[in-house]
Amino acid sequence: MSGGLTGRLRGRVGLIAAALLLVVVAAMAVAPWIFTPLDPLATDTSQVLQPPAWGRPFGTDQTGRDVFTRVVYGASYSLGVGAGATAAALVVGIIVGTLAGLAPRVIDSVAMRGVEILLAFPEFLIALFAIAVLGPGPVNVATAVGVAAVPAYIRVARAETLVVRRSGYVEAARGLGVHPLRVAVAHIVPNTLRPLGVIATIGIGTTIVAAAGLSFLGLGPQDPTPEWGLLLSGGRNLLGQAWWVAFFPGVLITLTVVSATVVGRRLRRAGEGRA
Amino acid sequence: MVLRRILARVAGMLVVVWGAATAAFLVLKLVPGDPVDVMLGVSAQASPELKQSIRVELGLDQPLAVQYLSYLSRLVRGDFGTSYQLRLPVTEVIGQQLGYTLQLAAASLAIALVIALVGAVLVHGRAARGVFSVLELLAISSPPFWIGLVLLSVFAFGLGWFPVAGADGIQSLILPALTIALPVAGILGQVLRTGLEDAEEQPFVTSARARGAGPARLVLRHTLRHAAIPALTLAGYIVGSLLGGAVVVESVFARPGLGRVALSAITNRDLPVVMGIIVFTAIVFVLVNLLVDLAYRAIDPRIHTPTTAIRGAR
Amino acid sequence: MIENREVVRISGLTVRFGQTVVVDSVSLSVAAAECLAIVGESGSGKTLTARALLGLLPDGASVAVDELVIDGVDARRYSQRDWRRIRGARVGLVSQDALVSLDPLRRVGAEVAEVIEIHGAPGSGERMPRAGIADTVTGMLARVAVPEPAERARQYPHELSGGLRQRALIASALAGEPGILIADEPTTALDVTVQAQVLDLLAGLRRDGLGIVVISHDLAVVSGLADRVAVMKDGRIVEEGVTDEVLSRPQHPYTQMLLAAAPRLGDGPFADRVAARRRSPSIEITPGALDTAAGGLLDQRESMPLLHATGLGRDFRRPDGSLRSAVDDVSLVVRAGASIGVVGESGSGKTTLARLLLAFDDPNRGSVSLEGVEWSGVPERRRRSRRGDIQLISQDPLGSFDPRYTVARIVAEGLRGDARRTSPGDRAARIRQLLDSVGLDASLESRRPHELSGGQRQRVAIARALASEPRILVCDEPVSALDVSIQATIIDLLNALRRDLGVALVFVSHDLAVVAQLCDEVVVMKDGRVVEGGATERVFRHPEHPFTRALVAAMPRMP
Repeated sequence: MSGGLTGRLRGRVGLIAAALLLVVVAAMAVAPWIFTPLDPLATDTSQVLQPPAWGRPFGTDQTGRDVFTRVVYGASYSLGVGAGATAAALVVGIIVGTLAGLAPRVIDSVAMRGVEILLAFPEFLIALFAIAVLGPGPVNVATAVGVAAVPAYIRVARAETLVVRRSGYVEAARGLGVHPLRVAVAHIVPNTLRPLGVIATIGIGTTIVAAAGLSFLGLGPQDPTPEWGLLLSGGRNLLGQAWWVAFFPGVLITLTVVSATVVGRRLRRAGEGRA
Repeated sequence: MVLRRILARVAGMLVVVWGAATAAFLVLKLVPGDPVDVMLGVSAQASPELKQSIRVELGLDQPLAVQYLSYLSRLVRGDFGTSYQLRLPVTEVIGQQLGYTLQLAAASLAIALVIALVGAVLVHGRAARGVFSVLELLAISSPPFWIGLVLLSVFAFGLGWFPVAGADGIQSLILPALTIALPVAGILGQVLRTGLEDAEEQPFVTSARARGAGPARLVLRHTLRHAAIPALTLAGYIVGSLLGGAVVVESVFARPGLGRVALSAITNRDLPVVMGIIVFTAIVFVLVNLLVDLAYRAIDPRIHTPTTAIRGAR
Repeated sequence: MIENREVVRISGLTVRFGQTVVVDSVSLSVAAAECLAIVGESGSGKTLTARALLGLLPDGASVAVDELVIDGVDARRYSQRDWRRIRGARVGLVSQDALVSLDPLRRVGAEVAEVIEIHGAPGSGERMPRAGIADTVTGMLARVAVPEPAERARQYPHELSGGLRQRALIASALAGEPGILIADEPTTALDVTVQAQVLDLLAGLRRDGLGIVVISHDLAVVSGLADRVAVMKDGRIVEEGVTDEVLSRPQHPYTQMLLAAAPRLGDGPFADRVAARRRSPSIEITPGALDTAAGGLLDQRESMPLLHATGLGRDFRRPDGSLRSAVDDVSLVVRAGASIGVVGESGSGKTTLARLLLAFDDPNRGSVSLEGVEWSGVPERRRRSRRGDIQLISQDPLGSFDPRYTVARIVAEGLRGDARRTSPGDRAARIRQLLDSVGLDASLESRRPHELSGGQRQRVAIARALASEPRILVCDEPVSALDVSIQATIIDLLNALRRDLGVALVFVSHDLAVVAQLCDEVVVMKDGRVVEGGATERVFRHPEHPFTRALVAAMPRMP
């Protein structure tokens, strides 16, 4: 980001805004009733396709349901899938990646050569293939997205472990006669985990987008469940008449991902400053 | 020596494709339910004898190992099987739609490169850089399908500059390509800009400046090449984004292409087509990786081969 | 007759970053065929002064200058575009370490040709055709004594040896035939023998009429090359004059301090002074300050061998499959309280030897025993408890510190055995003792490594090493990265440790003068083998092996 005093100030403001937004979205996920008294499933044929106005900030859709309410209630699925899938993928990735990184070089290089290319498939593609196997459905989307996130964490965990393992301070600890188990616990694991935590924060954003994407394609929850991606696909056919149905859910996805990325990046920079 | 390395390289590529094919095979065999039922669809009423005859016809009654070997042997001959749904060879199904997707991918890549380069190279000054950083962040964070919808809404429905759907002519290519290009340009621009900034702080830039080099020369002859190295590492991700983006974008803009084929195959559980696309994607990735490696070698002549230690007495 | 034409005159140069003044009213001038050296430690402002002569100050620097004449041109009001016209054409720059100062992705010839591509033919400024440029490049490389210049021009920087690279860098700075060359630490990254060659080259160029401004922290380097020297401290020139005068009769206290601190090699009274310093360093470590519960660290005046290495050999495989012996048939005996220097150039195997002695690596041939018990080739779990007996001080301690750890935690990691199991209060007291013994204030306990200076980090590393009460300290270039004045204090510290605690030292270095200050005996290595060994004074004063002779001869001398 730009340097100087104003740059730092702007950075600080951005961080606070991002963190605030994440808190708001989390609140939407956990306690949606705080934000809206309406029922996301309640149709009202007298209020079909109304543009945004004071009482209905995001307008209504083709069956008269309030878009804002549906967006609020949609947060729980997206955030739940994002956080849950990321957490699960993180755990698996750390275990496999760290083991791979600690393994004797021969095993590691042979195994990783081919796997590396496969691991380069972007998350969305893997999620698509996973859904192809599992079949459509809201739970399957969560599984697919989780599976898709694993390779990235394996790669990072392994890379970090390799770097740390060969680092000067690990060698110094060995030179001091420190037992290898203690070296792992006191040095290797903590130094490996920190960058991973940061990446996971940014990774939540990617996972949310992937899940929304699968839902958008119709492979996830079905109408009338409010889900951000599903809302967007519903709005696609209404673009000419009622742009707000598709617009606002997308805004919320974008803002959530932006916030997660900003927070994650700030964490990373804070970590690097220490190193 | 060089020959040995090339052979090793080719072998590695084949291993990857084989791995993908095997993974696809195994994983799809894990699909719960009888493939014949899946194929015929839930609503079809078929007698057990009919199902059995279909099973035999498709070779599904053979032991797993035999199925696997025949699958591999067919793959090697270029036979990717037959689509359950369309009753056409998978290669034909893919081939028909490939052109549209390639068109889209190429256009997206071109647009992304231009935007990224402009953003990284030509943008100077703190304020402009800050603005571009924010734009890049937005581009990366926005779901591509939403970008597509917004573009459609504004430029097609709203202003009427572009067609709303279909695939005829350049007109219909712009919005979809732009949709895929923006996130890619976002991350590529970021990496390029960081790469350029890092390179600018290196001592060799001071040497070049001390020779009288101006900013244009510094970028074109020196730092851009250095920045290209980290950018190349994104190649795999970019290709994946192009392909993944195609799936979504073809749906948003109602364009024909591999994405539609994939989506329909997934939704209809058309397993041979899905397997074919997986293998096809693996081949594409392997080729891209090869190109990237060659590009690395062309750009960076330093070969990082540390002398390997012989294990000491233990 | 030498022209006394002035090629550079700058007066009243003041550089500020915000409110901080980093260069304060500096004035100097250089004539053709003359070399001026600017000497100072880090932070003295010498580099910024040199950069000002090229208009290459960093963003954010505000410059004020009374006079600035470069090769006859008044450059006071120059814009960046104006500067670009004279950079390379009238004034050239050579930085240190050609490996990073030449674009590693471009061929050497392209780097040398760049000036001509920018400015045209030297002198006339006309565009040159490609063939003409290629010829000029080859000629320039030949002029800096690069053998087979046409082939070299087609190679990349990393394919050349250090010395050739530096020459190519010099060629790239001179291709435009400027009247003045700024050399910023031009030989710092080089081996001693190569350094001597590059300095000879610069001297020859000076004789041919080039004006040179050399920036260096190394007084010895400067003494051979420079006609006049200016000493800078905190942005000001504190002393200036003819080199011989300044170096033999320094007036300013800072100059005197630099000269006293600089390790120097030489005949006559200076060698005796150096040896005397070894025996009575200026600081003292009272044995009681450290917990000698292990008992009798001082008792080992007997000559029991602590470390005994026989016929050590270590091989590595090159990319093309052939074998390279990094260490070949090296034997060494280290007795209690001894200090042995291992000198050699890069690639001589001295670092590999150090790692073998420390058992960080196992030899392919030969063996090492520590205190009579086998040390090399033994499973790690059997060695682990003894590791505290022999410790390493490396060149860059920062890499050996866990970035998350505080100083206290870093030092504590060195404690072993009983010292480990005492109460937290006792442990803390011990840590404070250790920090005190290396001259570090207890207030640094809670700092993190990246917050410390180079000298402080090295002391922390020594404190950590001492925590395990070692009998031997293996030091691998521990002072090469430090300023001269800090170097002196660390050398004094190591000497005091030896004298007061009886710790034996194995000191690996390329710097003969530093070794002379610390080591009673020295071993000279080349290509993995020991070519000569013996008492330091004898080896340096009367070297027998031709390589040792070359090393000693190449050391820059001072009066």
